[in-house]
Amino acid sequence: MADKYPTDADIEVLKKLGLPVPGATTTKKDEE
Amino acid sequence: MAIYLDNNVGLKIATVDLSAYVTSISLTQTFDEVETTAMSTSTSASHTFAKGLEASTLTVDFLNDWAASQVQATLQAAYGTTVTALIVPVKSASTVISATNPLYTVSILINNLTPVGSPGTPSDYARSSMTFTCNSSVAYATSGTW
Repeated sequence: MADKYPTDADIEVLKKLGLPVPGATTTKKDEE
Repeated sequence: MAIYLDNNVGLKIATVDLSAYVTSISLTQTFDEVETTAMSTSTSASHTFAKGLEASTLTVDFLNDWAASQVQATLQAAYGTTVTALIVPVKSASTVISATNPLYTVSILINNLTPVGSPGTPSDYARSSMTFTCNSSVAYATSGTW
C-alpha cells in the first residue's frame, strides 16, 4: 500500500474531475 | 454472527464513492506459490511451496453512468494509472470500520475499461465489467475511516 491516502494519483483523478481534494492522511502502516 | 446480505458493499476508487453503481464485486486475494522443493525436502515425496508475491485482483461490474464524477468520468480520469480502492462489506450512512465490518484497501491498476459494449444489447442498461490487477498487497484493517 502507498504511504498516504489519498495518493498523488488519487489527487490527480480528483483534479481532473473538478472535485475538492481532501487532506492527506497517513496510512496505519505509516503510523506504526 | 456477522453475516450480511451482499447488497450494500461499499467501493471507493480514488476517493470517489461509486457504490451506487456496483452490481457485483469480488476482491480476490491470492499470492504466487514459489516452489521450494530441494533434495533435502523430498522425504515427503511431494513438492513444497512457500508464499511468493501477492497477485490479487478486483473484479467489478458497474452500471454505467456518464454524469459528472460518476463511473465513467472517474474511470476515464484514472485510466492507465494506479489509484486506491477502498472496499467495505457493509456501507451505511455512518459506516463504522470494525472487526465485523473491516476495511480493505488496495492499489489497483486501471488497465482496462469497457465504456461501450457490455452487454451491448438493446434491452439492458449499459454496464461495465472489469477486472483490475492489484498493484499492492491488500491491507486489512479493523479500524479506520471509510
